[in-house]
Amino acid sequence: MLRHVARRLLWSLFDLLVIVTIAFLLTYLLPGDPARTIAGPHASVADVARIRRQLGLDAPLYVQYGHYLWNLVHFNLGTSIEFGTPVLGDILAKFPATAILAVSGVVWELILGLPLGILSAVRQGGLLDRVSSVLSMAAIALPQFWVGIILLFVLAFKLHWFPLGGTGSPVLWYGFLPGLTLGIGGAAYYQQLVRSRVLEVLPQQYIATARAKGLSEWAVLVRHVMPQVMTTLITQIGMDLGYFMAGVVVVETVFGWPGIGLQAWAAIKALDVPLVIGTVLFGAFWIVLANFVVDSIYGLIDPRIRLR
Amino acid sequence: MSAVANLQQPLERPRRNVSRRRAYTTLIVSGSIVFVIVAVAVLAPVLAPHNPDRLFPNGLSAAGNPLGPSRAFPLGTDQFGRDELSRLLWGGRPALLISVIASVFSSAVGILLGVAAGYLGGWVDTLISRFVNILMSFPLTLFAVAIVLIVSPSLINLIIIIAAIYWTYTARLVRAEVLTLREQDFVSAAHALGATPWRLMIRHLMPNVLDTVIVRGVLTMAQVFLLEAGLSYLGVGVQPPTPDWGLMIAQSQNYYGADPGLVLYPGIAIAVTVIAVTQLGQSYRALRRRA
Repeated sequence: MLRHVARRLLWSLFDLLVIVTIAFLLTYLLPGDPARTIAGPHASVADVARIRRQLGLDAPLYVQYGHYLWNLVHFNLGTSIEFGTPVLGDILAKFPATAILAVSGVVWELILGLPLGILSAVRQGGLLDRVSSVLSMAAIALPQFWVGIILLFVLAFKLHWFPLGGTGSPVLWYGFLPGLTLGIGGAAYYQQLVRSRVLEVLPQQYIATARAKGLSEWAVLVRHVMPQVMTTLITQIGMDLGYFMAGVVVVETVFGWPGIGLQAWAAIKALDVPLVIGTVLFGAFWIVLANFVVDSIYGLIDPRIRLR
Repeated sequence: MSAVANLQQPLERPRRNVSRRRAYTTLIVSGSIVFVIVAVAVLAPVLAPHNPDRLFPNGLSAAGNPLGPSRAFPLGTDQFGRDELSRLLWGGRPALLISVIASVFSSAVGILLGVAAGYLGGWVDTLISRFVNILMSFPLTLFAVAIVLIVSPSLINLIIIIAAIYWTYTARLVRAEVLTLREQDFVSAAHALGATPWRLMIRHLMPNVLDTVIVRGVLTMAQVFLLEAGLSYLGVGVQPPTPDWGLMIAQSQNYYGADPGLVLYPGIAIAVTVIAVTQLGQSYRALRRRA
């Protein structure tokens, strides 16, 4: 088991290194001159050259790359062009809001997806099954920002049940609609996933045995069906959490939710490349971490995985 | 649900026919809807009553608000006094174009690299699989947005970036399928007859994974369609004044109170397209699997 985890960890670190390299090459190769951006449009050629030297941008590629890695190891993601502050500090300042949103997104996925999935499988072909499969089909196909705008308009603007955006206290009230918007697509996916998993498990012989023992339907579901469903779901939950932590640009933009996604979007409009690339890296870190954790947990649940 | 009823094996044959017929119906219905959507997009220049970009001086109310439906403007006007119906008819074009081309490109790259990784194995597999894993670790929207920002959001750049992300899903799927295919007798037979690895991959393995790739490609179209709408909403996709459903929602969201249709119509258009395309892919898969 430990070997499995250790191997996974090494691969994750390798992946991160490649990701960092790609990010570095992006900032290096793509058009746009940071020195010119910092100096402003009216600066003289000499000023731009001086700033370029200060930033180390006149050094050869491998020196800059080494410098970049050295900084990263010391948790230095560079300096924001717009604010002149360390990028990592900017990201960490906004991260709690994103984390709250990410967790509430996953909670919504489970609150809506799990019971609907189980019930529609248990009563396959029933009214609830048909209604929820139509709903989940629509929920997956609707653009997230559209759902957000509609929820915002109806529940906040018209009915005044929720605030019109931003954040404040209590967080649960402000985060209700953003979390719901974030979770609704995933909830639909969970509904389909759970439904098909339960349908796979129900005809199994051990379920018949459990019923024959005289267990109630409820007990069969909780004790024998649920563990199977959860092993399928746990990977999905882990990955979703990783992706959401990586920044949910669209939802945060719709609701003005002050997380790393909204900040990155503002940075994009301000052409603040270090902050944008820093956020991409920060996000990739979360996804790699989620991958690693999920794989390790999977090895723990299902020992066969470890052998590969 | 009684325990006894569940112990009985379901009757295999009739059920199969029912679900087959249902899949067939879905295929026809969703296929027709997709056909209509594509036809409307292609024929938009002929069908649209007005030039979608034209700002009508009489297209706004005295207070400067969008107009409701009238004879001249069947669905009313948008916040700039442009004909909403004409914009809706035109608005599917950029997203359809992007999703079809990006999906074809990503399928082509995905099948090539997926078959190579699955059949050749060894360091080729390690290299490709690792690269797929790494690309999948980038936060999708943010990554796309960041690159589009740097290379400027032209139609071609959008297609390249989206295809460069989505081929990974096809490749991973194809690889997994080739891993099981290559253990089968026809591969050993071809190998024994002296087929080169190249010929084996092109003539024997690729035709066998084609179905998977087609289904995946169709589903990719649906996903790209949504991604394109999101990018346009964020302002890094299709640029104004081009009519585009995602962009229309973004630009009209502040006029929701004045005319909810400006937000509702393009959103529904996107959803119908995505549902139809998804169902088309899934019913095709269901039919092929049982064939």
